[in-house]
This record gives sequence, structure tokens and C-alpha cells, in this order.
Amino acid sequence: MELLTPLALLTGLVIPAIIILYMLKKRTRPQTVSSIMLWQRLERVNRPALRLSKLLRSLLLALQLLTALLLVLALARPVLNIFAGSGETSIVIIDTSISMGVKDGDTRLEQAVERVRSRIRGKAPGDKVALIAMGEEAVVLSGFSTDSAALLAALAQVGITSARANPNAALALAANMAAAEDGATIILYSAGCFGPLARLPEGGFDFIALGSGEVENLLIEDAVSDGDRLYVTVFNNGTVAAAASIEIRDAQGQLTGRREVKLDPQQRQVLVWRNLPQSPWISAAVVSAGDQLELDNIHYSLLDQDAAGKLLLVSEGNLFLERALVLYPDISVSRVAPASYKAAMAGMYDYFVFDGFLPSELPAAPTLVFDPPHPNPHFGTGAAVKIQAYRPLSHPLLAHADFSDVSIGFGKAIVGGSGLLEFEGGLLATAMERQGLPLVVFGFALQAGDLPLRPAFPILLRNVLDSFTGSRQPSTLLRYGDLVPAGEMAVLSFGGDPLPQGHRLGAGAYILVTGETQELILLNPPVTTDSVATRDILESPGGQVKGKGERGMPLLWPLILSALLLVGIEWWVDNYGG
Amino acid sequence: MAPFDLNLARLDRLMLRHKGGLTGTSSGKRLSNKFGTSLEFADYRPYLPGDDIRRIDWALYGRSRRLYTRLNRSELDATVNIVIDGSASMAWGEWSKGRRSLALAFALGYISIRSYDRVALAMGTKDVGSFLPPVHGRAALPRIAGFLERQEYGHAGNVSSLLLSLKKMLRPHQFTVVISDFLSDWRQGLESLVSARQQVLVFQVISPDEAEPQWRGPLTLVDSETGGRKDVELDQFTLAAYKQAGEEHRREIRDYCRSLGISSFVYNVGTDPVDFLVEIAPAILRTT
Repeated sequence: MELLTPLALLTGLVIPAIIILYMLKKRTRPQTVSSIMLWQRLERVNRPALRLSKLLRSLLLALQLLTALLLVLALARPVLNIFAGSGETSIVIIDTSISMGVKDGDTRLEQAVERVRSRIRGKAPGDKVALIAMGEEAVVLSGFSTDSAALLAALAQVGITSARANPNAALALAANMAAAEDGATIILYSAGCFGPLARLPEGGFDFIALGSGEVENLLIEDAVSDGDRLYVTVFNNGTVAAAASIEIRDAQGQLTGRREVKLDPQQRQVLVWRNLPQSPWISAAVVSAGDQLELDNIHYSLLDQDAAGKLLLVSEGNLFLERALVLYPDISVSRVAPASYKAAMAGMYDYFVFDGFLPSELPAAPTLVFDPPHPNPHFGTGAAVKIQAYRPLSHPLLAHADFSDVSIGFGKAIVGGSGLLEFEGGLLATAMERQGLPLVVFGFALQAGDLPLRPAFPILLRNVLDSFTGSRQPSTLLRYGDLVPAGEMAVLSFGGDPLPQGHRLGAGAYILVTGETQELILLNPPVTTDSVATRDILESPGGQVKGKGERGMPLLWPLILSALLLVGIEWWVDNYGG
Repeated sequence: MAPFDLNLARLDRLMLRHKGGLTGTSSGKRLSNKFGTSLEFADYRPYLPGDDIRRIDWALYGRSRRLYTRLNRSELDATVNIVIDGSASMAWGEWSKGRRSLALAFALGYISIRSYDRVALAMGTKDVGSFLPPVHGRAALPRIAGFLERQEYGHAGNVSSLLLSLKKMLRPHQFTVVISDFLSDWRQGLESLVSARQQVLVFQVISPDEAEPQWRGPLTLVDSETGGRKDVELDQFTLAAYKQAGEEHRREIRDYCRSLGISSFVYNVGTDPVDFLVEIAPAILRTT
């Protein structure tokens, strides 16, 4: 048996209180009688009846104690774990996306961890358990192990790290692990806040749905400053209308602004503040008593935007580029569709990235181009051809980028500039200069190969952006949910206190010390605009999987009904029995 | 309306049954063992000069040629002493034992007056506080009612000392009716009445609240006479023990009275006194 809310056992203090109340002399009320002569003869006349009376009073105490005990147990929400210790091998996947931070009593993640912990403690000595954390990436916390202590230590590392969960990656990883162990069961603890599964794992698969369908949550989707104004985007990804105060505080924690918002589900509102304080950064927070997801209630934003650049991505929509570009916190990224691009935008941004499109007049700013149109008025290109083989050339923009495992299917030759990549038809990627400003062109679409899936992609992109800005971008070494690393780097709180190695970094302002340099880093929680309401049915091409509310038999209602029955018996004994 | 709201007409043909040997001062309706002038034949004796010749039995003279005088039994009245316990406990309860006891006393007095008996009334706590000397005749009924209406209950009582103080007012071979709840010492008092050669009737008075208390829970019981206190947790079992104690108390009184040749009755004041007397009439009353 496991307890879902063991802290409720503290209410058991009421039991000694009941005993003390029984020990205290009862307050009697006076009643005049004709004579107490007969009452004084009771002991002599009918001692057995009086003994029975005392026994019944003891029975009343026992019934009340038992009732209190049952109610305390009911509050602790016990679950009879009828599967524990059954000799099975299991792979436990725990969702670590932001949707698991929703509080239904405890947070969903805390509920999941508590249940897995009970499962590990209750398993038979020979049972093997593997643990996988399911964020945007699947991370093996522990391979198959029979060592409960090691499994519990691995379980303690679980924390919310991602905006969304990637169940397909986690299930694929689990399926591979399960293939090595016959009869392994995959158990997914999740709120089900993700899209349809690509496929269901073969063999045993249980989905433990956590949480409920009703969620109240407002989140700070974004907080961006252009130097003069602060734009705070508030979003309701819950299932009910929600109201809250949005508070703006400076680095010293001083309140500098407050607005009230009320949003219906899936509604967004942008709040604008002017007259911003002199502060290196600012925080925007949702303040609401009913909000069930606290993690995404705060967002930190740099106010000093002078050193940062504004980058405009002109694309029909390229998830790889968008996700890679937002890794640079000092560059504010905006996106427009090619049809919406206007020449007037050229003066509004510091950097440009064109994806599959080039305007008639290139902006006077460092520009990165993927898959330029053929032909175009700015530089020479060839027709798109199938690429049999290519090779990277020696160039600073390719520093640390490993192209050995990168495949490119189709591309077009680029004329001019210093080559980055070369294929049989000429240069596949070049770095040019145009009016003294860098212009880097890749003659293929990112979707035409697997470059976005390889480590070379973010390194390449960083090298290009570094060359645009002329300086290193703020560190991306630290992310929300990371542990403070060992080594030469030190992480300080914004107040200057060093954080111990292994400390999990939450949302906030930190100072990263590397050698002689110090760098201000703002970590924001992962946010999602997807609904965080529990979905207890997983869709897949192979069918549906219905989530089990509990893995085990909930004892809440039997305990409450038993307590009510005891209350009835106690009432009967009090009124008729005694 | 009759005093105490009693339907006295139902008692008109009743009188207290005596066991003989009564003494009286006036002629009444009760046949005594003495020779008198009633129509009840008792014996013959030889004629003596001076005897009323109307009493000579001439039929017997015709058979025996001797003169015999017929002797008849005399008819006397009886004196009925009604003593009421005036202690505070008698005034307790929703159904006041005291008021009902006075009504019972009046009903007994009415029966006695209708039977040409004399009625004396006494009331007190530890001794006789109020006393109405024997009265007779229908004209005495208002005096009896007035005496009873004036009585008040109060103070701690003792039945034994009350009856002992009454003893000196009694003459042998009289009725003495005792009305009390007997919630104090009583044995010695009853013995004294028997030793005074009284024909004693005992009415133990209880109220429905005493027989079946309705309160529950933790109580401090306060004695209405002494102010004494006792804490009890009154539940079904304690109540059962109390009822058993009450039953035991009534049985003690009944057995003791029986041993002294005293008739005893338990009168629950929830019952109308006339109904009660009609109910027990076969035991202590007879039809005139």
C-alpha cells in the first residue's frame, strides 16, 4: 500500500487530542431530583450494569478513535499497490514536460515520482526497473537495475526541464530497451499533453494518467523590451477563464508595475509598460491564488537591449531555424512570412535570415540565406540538383562543426564568395561580403538533408551569428533545469552567492563566471501554449490507450464509507446502546 | 367542582375495611364486638330485672318456659388518621407528588366521612406540623379540604420521626393511613404505629419522573431536601441500575409492611387518585 499524500498523516495528531478530551472530566449539568438516596445505591444494586456502562463509554472512545484513524488514512489517499512485487521487469517513463508541474494537490510530477518511488520500494528483489525522463528529449536516468537504492537516487534527479514532451522518442528508446529484456512492461506516467503517438510499443504498455481535466493557468509567454517599452505576453492555456495580477519587478525585487488581466482559455493578451526602471533585468510574474501551474508564472528579461541585436527571420515556417535561433538570448528573433516582408523592415532589424526567399533589395545588414531562389538578382546560383557527395572546406565558420554524419540530398551551386561546402557542381555554401556586410549563403534547404538533426547545425549557426555580431553571444551552456556543472565555471546567484555543484537551476538571474569574465544569465522556465489539461487517452495509428487513473486500488472511498459506518454505530451506541 | 378536581361520586359506596376491635366514641356504621342496639343479633342472656321487656324473646320463652333477653351488637364509628409526609421531596417532579398526595388524602377522608367515620389529618416533616383533630359528618368535608389546601411542603423530612411524634396523638384500634415517598428512614415509624395498635395503611407515592427519568448524559444530581450532590453519567445501563434500585426500594417497603401486617400500596401520581382507589378497592375497601 502506498500513500499519495503522506503529509496528511500529520492530521493524526487529532487522535491524542480525542484521548485527552476523554481524560478531561466531563462538564456536568445540574439536575434537581427528589432525593439522591436511590442514586447512591446504584453501585450496590447493579454493579454489572454500571460496568457495562463504563465498557460502552470505552467502546465509544474506541469507535471515535477508529473513525479518526480511518479519516486520517483517507486524507493520506492510500492506494493498494496490487501489482508491486509481482516479479515483472518494467521500464518507467516519467513525463518531465511543463504540464507535469500542474498542481492537483501535489504537482503531477510529484505524484508520479511518489508512485514510482513506492513501486521501487515495493518491488521484489529480483525485479528489474529502468527509468527514462521524457522531455523534449528522452533521457535514460537508469538502465535496468535491481538495486532499489540506485533507482531511487536516479529518480531523485527527475525535474521539469522541457516545454513539451516527446513521447515518440521516449517510447522508441524504451522499446529498444525492452527488446533486450523479454516481457518488459513499459509504464508511462504522464498527463498526456502531447499529440498522437507515432506508434504504440509492442508488448506490455501501461499509461498512468496523472491530474485532472480542469486546469486554471495563466503563463507569461514572453517578456521583451525594446529599450523603452516592455511587452509582456500573457496566455491562458488552462481550461477555465482565469484572472490574475501581472507584476513587474526590477532586479532588486521592487514592484514597478501591476496590471489585472482576465483571459478565457486559449486567449492571449499583450501588456505594455513604459518608463522602465534603471535595472539590468526585469521580471514579470503572474500573481494568482488559483493558478495551478506556478513554474510558468515568471519570466525574466534583459532591459539593456542596446547590446543585443534584433534578427528578422523571413520564412514560411522552419521549426529547425526558429528553435536554433532562439537559443541566443541576446538576439531578439522575429519572424515574418515572405509575403509579409516589406522593404521598410530593412532598417528595423540588425540581422536577417532568409529561408527559401530573397527580397528584391537586400537589407544593409548581416544576412544569412538558406535555399536562395534561382535565379536571383543578388548573386549567381545554379539549378537544384541531386547531391551525390560534398565536402566541408576549411573555414572559420565551420569551426568545431562535424559534417561527417551530415547528409544533404538536394542543393544548388552558389557563385562567389569563400567556400564553406563544396560538391561536384561547385560551392554549396559560401561566405560573401556585400557592401562590407557579411552575407552567408547555403544553397540547400534545411529540410533537404539531416543537418538540423546533427550537432553541427547549432554550432554552425552560432559561428555565423558570432561573425555577424562580432562578439560571442551570451552563453547557452546553462539551461533551465540544469545542474550547476563542475569544472572551471562557477555559477553565482544574482546576489553573488556561489551555488553548489549539482544545484538544480530554476528560473532566475545568475552570474556565470568563466575565468576572468562574468556573464549575466537569465533562465526562464519552459512554457507551452498547448493545453495542460490531462488527456487520459493516447491516440495512435494502432488504436487508443486508455489511461489508468491509479495503478492500484484506491482506498479513499472504502475508508470514508467505513468511517461513516462507524459514525453511525457510534451514534447508535451513544443514543441507544448507552 | 369538587376539591382537587376529583370525581368523588365514584367513591360514595366505599368504606375502609377494618379488621375488628375498633374503638369509637359515637354510634356509627361499623359493627363492634360490644353489645349494643343495632339490628345485628349477637347472643341471649337470662332476663334480669330492669331489662327492657321489648328485648325478651317470647318465641324462646314459649319453647323453654324461661325468660331470655336478646343481645344485639353495637355499631360504632371509626377514627381514620391520615398522615402526610410534608418533606420537600414530596413536592418534586412534573407531576407533583405533594398535590396528588393531598388529593389522595382528601379522597380517603371523603370515603371515611361518607362511612360515618371520624377523620383526623396530620402533616409534617420530622414531627407533626399541622394537625386537624378528628371531625365527622358531611359538614366536616369543607374543613378537611380547607386544611389540605393550606398545606405546604418544604425542608428535609424523616418519616420515622414524623410517625413517632404522631404516636402520642393516637388511640388504640384506629386506622392510620401513611402517605409518603419513603425516601428517608421509615422502619421505626411504622413499627411505632403497629405498637400503638393501629390498623395501618401505607401509600408509597412515586412520580413518573422518578420511575423513568428522561434526562441523559453527564449530570450532577442535587437532592431537593438536603442539597447533597452526586455525579452520574446517565446512560441506558445506569438508568437500568437506577430502576432496579427503585424496584428494590419498593420491595423492601412492601415486604417489611407485610411482616408487620400492614397493607401497602404504590401510588404513581400519574394516575388519578379516584381511579387508583377504585382499582385497589377489593383489597382495602368494601361496599356499604
